Amino acid sequence: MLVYIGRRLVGMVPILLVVAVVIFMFLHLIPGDPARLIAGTEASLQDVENVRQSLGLDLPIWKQFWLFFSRAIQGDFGMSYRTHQPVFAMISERFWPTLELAFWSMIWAIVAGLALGVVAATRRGKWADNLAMFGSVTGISMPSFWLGLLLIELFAVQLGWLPSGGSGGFKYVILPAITLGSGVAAVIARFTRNSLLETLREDYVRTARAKGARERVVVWSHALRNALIPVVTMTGLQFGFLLGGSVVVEAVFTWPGMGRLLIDAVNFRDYPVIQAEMLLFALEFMVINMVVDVLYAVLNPQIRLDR
Amino acid sequence: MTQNLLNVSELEISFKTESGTVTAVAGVSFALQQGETLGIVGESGCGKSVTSLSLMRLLPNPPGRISGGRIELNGRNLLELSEREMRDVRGNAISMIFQEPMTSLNPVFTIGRQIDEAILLHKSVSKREARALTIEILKKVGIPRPEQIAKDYPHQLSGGMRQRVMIAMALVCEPQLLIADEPTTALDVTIQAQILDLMDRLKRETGTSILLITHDLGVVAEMCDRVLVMYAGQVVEEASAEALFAEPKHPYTVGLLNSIPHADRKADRLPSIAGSVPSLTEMPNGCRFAPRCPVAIAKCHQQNPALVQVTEQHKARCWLAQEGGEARV
Repeated sequence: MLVYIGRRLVGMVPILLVVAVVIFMFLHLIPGDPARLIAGTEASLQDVENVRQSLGLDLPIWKQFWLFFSRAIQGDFGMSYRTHQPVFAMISERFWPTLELAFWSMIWAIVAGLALGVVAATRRGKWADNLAMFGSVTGISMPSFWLGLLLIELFAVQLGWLPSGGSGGFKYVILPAITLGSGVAAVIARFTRNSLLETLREDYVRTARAKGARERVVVWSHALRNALIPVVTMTGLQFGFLLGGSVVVEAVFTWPGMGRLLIDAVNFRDYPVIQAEMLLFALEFMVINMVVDVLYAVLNPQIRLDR
Repeated sequence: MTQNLLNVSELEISFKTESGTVTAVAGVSFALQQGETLGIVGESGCGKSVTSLSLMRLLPNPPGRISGGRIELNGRNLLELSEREMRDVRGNAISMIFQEPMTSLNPVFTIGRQIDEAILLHKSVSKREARALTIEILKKVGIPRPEQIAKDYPHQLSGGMRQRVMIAMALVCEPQLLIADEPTTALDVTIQAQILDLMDRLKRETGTSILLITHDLGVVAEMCDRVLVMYAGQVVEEASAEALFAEPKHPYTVGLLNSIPHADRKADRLPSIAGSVPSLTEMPNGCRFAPRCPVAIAKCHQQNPALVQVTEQHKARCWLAQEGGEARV
């Protein structure tokens, strides 16, 4: 298992390199001139050219990439054009709030999604199933900013139970986490329902019943354990999207995460920040994929990682 | 008269389908004594598996439903028990092994854990004691290195080994009745014989009664004391195994026996029963076998005969057999 994880980590290096090249190319292809933005609209052409030189943007693109790359492998992602702070420090400051938000969103998504999915599958065709699947369609189709505003209106404005935004203790994370996680919860619920309906028809479920196991044990232990195998793969990918997709929710709840940092960076053509954030997203995706594969093997004894 | 272990009377099972409710099993009655092996034979779809599942009340509902009759185990009607009481019966007084050893074990749990579970459900023992019992029963069903195998997952075992595990799991709580639904159908012929021998040996050691569901008359000849032949949801013949093979009374049974290949009698073509089983929605008015029966008379197409005693050891549902006529084709 450890050997496998090590191999996967080594395998990430070339992928990251390719990702870095692609991001770098695209950034320089999109319109917008950071030098002009920094120098301001009133600046003379000479001033803009000076800024361009000081940022190294006048160099040939392969040279720019080499500079970026050779520094990046030493952990130096340069200075932000906008704030003139080291990018690494900016991102690491914003990374934890985003991870915290994604973590609680995922907890909510898994708990709510599994519960709804199991309820729906075990009461197939009854009103509880219909209600759960109606809720699931709603969850998938409702834009997160709108759900966020509705939750703020109900729990923050009307009832006054929870803060409407900002960050602090656990109560600040509840509403954004529910907002961000509900879409994923809905997807998990559908997946779990369908997967569980399939496994409930398996012969070993009948065997478990024939042993005299109670229905709760049959469903939650014998059937669900098998049903989760495909659900885990899907959930892992969703988690990746959560990390990236928190941009809107962070804006609605004024959450100090990477999403907002990215919006600002893109608006300002803050190349170093965008590059570093995109690389981080790519890395997250790869780590999550690896964790999913490991979990998959833990859940499914027929898969051996050490071969 | 000794009390029967199991008394099934007028069992009726219906299924909801898109074209209405159909009766898959109509008025099946039989009894099973302590230590006896009763075979239920018939083609696929004749209701034999459904009957066996309903004894455990494991019929998937919907669409299936036990719509009438009684199932008495030691005089207690299982159809009147609560679900909780029924759970105490399953795997304890009655247990079951299935046709597909490849899929009947849960792929994500170890063999040991699955047998432990059966023990812990019905006996008040510690986990450690349960594992000791598991290893003991694995040894008894002829699993080599039981301590090691208990830690293995189902996919690491062959089909024959898995069926041994299923038998171990079924017998670990010393049930009074073991229902075996086509236990050897999915296995190689040599393994089939081993599994049958094992079941026979365990039956002798423990006095468990066996209800053996099969379509294989060879298995019946080897294992059973008495046989029930089912056709289209009804019992058409019931007899001791010797009587059935020596002197079948129902034309359907005759047809079944004729279609067994014999190595010493080389025929150009194996005789088969013409036609196919009527669908549940289009049951004939008269005898259900009449449309396929080579010796049917006019009466057969009009009235369905009752299952009546024709000799001391023999019951048949056939007008000809009742009139002392010759059922042989």
